[in-house]
Amino acid sequence: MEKIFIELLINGIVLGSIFALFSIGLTLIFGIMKIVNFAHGEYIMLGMYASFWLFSLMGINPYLSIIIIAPLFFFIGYLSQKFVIQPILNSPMVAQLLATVGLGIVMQNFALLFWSADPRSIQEVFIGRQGIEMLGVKISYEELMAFIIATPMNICLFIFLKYTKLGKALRATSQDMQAAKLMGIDVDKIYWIAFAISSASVGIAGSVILPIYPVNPTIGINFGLIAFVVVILGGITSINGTFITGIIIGIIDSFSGYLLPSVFKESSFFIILLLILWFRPIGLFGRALA
Amino acid sequence: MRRSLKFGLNIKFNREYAVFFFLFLFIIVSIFIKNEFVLHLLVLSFLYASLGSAWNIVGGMAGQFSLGHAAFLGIGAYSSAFLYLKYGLTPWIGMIIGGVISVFVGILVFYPSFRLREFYFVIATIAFLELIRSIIVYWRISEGGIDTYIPFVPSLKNMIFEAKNSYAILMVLFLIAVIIIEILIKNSKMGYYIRAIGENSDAAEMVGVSSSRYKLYALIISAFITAIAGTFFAQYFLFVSPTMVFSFPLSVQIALFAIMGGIGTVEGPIIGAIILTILDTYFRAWIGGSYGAVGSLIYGFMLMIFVIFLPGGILSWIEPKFKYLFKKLPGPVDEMLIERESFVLPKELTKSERKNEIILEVKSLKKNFGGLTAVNSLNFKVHKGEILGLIGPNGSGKTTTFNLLSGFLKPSEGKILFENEEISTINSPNRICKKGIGRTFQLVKPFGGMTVFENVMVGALLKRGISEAKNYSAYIIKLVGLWDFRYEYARALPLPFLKRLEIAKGLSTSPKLLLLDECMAGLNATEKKELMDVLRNIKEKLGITLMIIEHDMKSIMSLSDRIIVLNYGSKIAEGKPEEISRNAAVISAYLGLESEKNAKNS
Amino acid sequence: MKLSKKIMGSVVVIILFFCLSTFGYSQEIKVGSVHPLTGPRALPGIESHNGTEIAVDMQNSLGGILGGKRIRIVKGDAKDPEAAASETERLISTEGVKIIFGTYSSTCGAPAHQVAGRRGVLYFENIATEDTLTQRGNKFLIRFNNKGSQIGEMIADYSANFIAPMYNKKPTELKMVVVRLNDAWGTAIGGTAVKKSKEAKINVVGDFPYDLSVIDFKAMLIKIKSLDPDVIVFNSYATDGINLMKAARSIDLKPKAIIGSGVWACIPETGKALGDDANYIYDIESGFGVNPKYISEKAKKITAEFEKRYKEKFGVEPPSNSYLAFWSAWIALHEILTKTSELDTQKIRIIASEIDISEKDTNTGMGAKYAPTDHPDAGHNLKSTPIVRQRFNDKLYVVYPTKFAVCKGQKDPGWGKKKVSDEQIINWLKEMK
Repeated sequence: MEKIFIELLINGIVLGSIFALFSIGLTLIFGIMKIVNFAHGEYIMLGMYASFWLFSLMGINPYLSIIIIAPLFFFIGYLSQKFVIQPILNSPMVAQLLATVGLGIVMQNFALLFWSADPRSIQEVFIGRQGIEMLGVKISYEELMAFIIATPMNICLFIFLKYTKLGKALRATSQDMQAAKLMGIDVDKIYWIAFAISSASVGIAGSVILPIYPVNPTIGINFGLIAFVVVILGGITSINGTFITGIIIGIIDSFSGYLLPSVFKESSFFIILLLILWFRPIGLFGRALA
Repeated sequence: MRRSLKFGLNIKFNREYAVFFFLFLFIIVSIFIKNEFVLHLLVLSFLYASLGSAWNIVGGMAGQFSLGHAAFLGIGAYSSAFLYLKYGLTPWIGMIIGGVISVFVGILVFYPSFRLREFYFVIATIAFLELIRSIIVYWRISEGGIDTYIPFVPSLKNMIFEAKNSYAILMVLFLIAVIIIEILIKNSKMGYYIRAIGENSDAAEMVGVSSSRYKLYALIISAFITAIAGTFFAQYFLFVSPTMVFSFPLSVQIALFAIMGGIGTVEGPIIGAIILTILDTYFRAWIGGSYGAVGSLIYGFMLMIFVIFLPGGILSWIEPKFKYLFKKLPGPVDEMLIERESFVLPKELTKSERKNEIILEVKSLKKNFGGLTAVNSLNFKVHKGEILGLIGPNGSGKTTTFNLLSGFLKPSEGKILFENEEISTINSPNRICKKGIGRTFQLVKPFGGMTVFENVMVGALLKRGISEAKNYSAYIIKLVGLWDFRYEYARALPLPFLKRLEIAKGLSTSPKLLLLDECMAGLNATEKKELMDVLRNIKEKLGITLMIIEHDMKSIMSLSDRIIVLNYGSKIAEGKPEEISRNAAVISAYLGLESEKNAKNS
Repeated sequence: MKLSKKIMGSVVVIILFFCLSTFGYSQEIKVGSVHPLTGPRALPGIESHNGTEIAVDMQNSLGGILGGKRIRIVKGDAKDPEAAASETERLISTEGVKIIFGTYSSTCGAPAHQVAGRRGVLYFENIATEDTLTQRGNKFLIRFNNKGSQIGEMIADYSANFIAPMYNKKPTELKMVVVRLNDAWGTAIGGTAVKKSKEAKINVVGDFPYDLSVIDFKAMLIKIKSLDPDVIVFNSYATDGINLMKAARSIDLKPKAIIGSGVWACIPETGKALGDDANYIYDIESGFGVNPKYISEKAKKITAEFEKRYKEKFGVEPPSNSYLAFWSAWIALHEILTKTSELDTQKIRIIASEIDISEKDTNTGMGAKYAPTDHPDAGHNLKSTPIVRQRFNDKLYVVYPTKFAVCKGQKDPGWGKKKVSDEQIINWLKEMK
């Protein structure tokens, strides 16, 4: 019994770091830049595909392909911002939501059209399925990598936002765009940088996730919904909050997967989401704005 | 001259005529068309139009953008199907039960979610959809099946028909019923209230609308209708599957019908539903079938482009083009020309002789925000019928005081007595309004998508029936000098008129005390003078007590009977205007110590 | 001005083209092909459609149907139940088809069958397995494939009589867990597998219906691990199937045998995802590849022709679903629709009840004998049977029923030890001889 508990816990932490990995980008866009991007999940899907093709066609190890994918997705983020997000930046939330729903549909069917509905998966990257053992539970290197990459990514983004000039400019813009403009901040540039960074982080997440889960054009929505739950629960503006909440959600997912019938798995975090929205809307780690 | 339809419905607006014309046309078409596929499209279109219209009540009118409405559809479908299959209960009754269940379940989740901000409300509705789906799937699996089949046994009692024509007619009749309900709502107090909430919830509260209550009403109606549509859905397809009814894309589509057509309007969802159904089907046929993903791809693109370029929906694009056509239809009745001045100014509003009677008393009022004390032990009294000015430098706590008086903020300490009744514990602006305190906002909060007339009507309905309210609104609009603009949409008005509208809204609830927050801000000298005439007019004609925050010294000195001066949350002076203007403390507060010295020396 | 004229002109041409293309030749007969072409079931849906297409191509090269008329396919996208109903409606009313091939999916097929049935349109269902589809009194529905309960029964049968003895166990000593999708298909197959296994006295210790929205299965599999099953059945589509296998392996879930029922067991992607660990999976459902010694020359020729054309047209080896869809359509086109020249669906339905194709005449192990309209399972293929195959190096080898088998079922050596060499396979095949 104890062993199962530990197994579920460790599984939850690993899963949680994956959740954190792909949710951090959303904190930046949604939490800080206040852009409702319902296509977030589809970016994750594309990240996984990109990594898959680099591996299948050119044999590049997914962890190495991050070197290619990060700048590639940085660019994709830039394009998205310029052509899709920019026009709707000042539209009402509903318009942003629907426009990004449309974007998600486009991305999904683009994938379907070019890469077919076949699920794509790769063999484990570390031959022989090595792993480490922690507390009697086996963790594969791939899963470990998820945690190993999520942590510094989180720290980097946190430091970037808190201490660098650009990061501060980003936060300033999110709090008051007019004031930021008056302070000489190039707001347009800030927005595309934010989106580009977010997109790059999602691309990286995709690379890390691919060795563990298969990808097909329709999985975007599953990931996307989790990302929103994690970000909102975490307190939208807090990068660290997203990371920790991701882990928490991963643990909840793990235990509810064991205890509850499968169909209620996602419901458990929706219920938690509703409760938090009703009783503590700033999230677990958010700070109430004055 | 009034035109009315035989049911007592007053069809006053050209557009609504057009809608009924088309609806009756649809009935004819449904009876005579033979092509099964066209009939299928008609059935779907009408069903979707009803869904879009029902959604519109909550999403368009009340401004609560729900992406969880498919849940109600599903609950309705499963309730009636289950009762029919297991107990042989006719779907005609089953659908009512389904409606009731939907409403009940909806209230559980929507009601606490109403106070969430925009996007979080949407997420809450999505969570709702997913939760309901999980529960139904779990229930179905534990029963050993998952998809529900309804055997084809046509009879009226079973709500199953041999010919598609019957289904089509049923759907049109349902749509007509839904439209009638919508029109009835729109022209009623509930309609005004719901739309006001959708436009600006705070402003609605301040004219006596309990936003939580009316959002609830909107939800109840919307959920009930959607659930009934669910029953029709089940009885038409004779098949219910969780992915079919509890689908997020379907929820989005329902919202899209209203948005694409024209959100908040009666015709919008009908247009949206018909166009989307046709587009969807033919896309699938011409492109989808052959090239699969391309059709959906184009759908996605179109969605994006549509949202960016045509946010007001197709109607906003068509309307200007067809305005001349609409003008040819039997015209709207100018409701404001009705001569019966049957409203009565409540007794208190006529000039009171007992000027020294205290209407408002504030005792040791304090408000802290964390470490900051915004209002510090404020004490003052307001006499009936007077104009009391409230001035002070920026940040001195004037607007906070108003927020405390009008119920937007809760005092940290102290008491507020209105007509000797303690109101400091009432934390609800609409209830304070009902007590008799009205208020305008510094940054005007008009109901942008409603006309000037409708804007005033919302508040007027607080204490009056519809026809009396109309007369009273006419009076108020004339009083503030907006008569010529009474049918203009508020969002089209320039600032000076918006300021007048704000005052008109403040007066619409016949308050005994009206709080005016910087009603002159942003106006030029001429505009200010005109507004002052309006205010004097009000004071003479209505004799209500006014409390005014103002920065323009000249205006407030000339208007006020007495003035209170605040600085850093405390009262530093009180008295007649002439006294205040010479008060050293006041001068130094505004101009700083240096000037105080200069004042003393001069 | 010029540009807009050009655009106008092109638009007119395109519209004309579409209009004209719907008229067609008079010596042509339109048939519908209704499958999920987009959406979550697109993968098997497209595979099934492709199989149908080849059958049509082949029959056209032999002179068409109904008195030498050339067959033209009109596609419909049944991506969800509502679309299925709409598309079927459209094909019937606007395109005037009276014969439809479809649908792969039970959930999407049901409304389509209904619409067609009420309009007297013949529906040749190729794959949908939900039992009750043929029990609703639809006089115009004909289904080639097995019912879910037949597959469930086969799972129980094979587990009790072959897997159990392989490990010297009695059925009651064999612990089984069934993991299945929670939709109609999963209920039809996995659900009945649970039922039939219990009837066969197998110790079913868990039934795990799961939702398609699940990303991570490890928690559920950890629970299954605690039940220590001997046999696990994964009744899944493609992505979830692969996901389940990888997760099972990563938590070291070590059943003695893994049974797959669903797309995932057959597709090459599973091999790419798991490498050698995709070997030894039992695929129990409808399939193809019965021992060539058993089938007729005619069947071999047709199969070869099908495989050749499929590879040419679609660039890949035909997957299972395509074979099934092919045979279903082929038998309909070649054996039924050539027996009359009148497009009278009532008449054709009677002809359908009269055919009796031997199981030797296809390579699926199934013959074709459709139950007449007064039968409780009207339209169902009374000669349908599931087969059991085992996967080695991305190929599937029939192991049961014995008459069809090319080799015997092999014991699964466990994760990481599943590498199979070509020599081994050759030896196993020799054993059967």
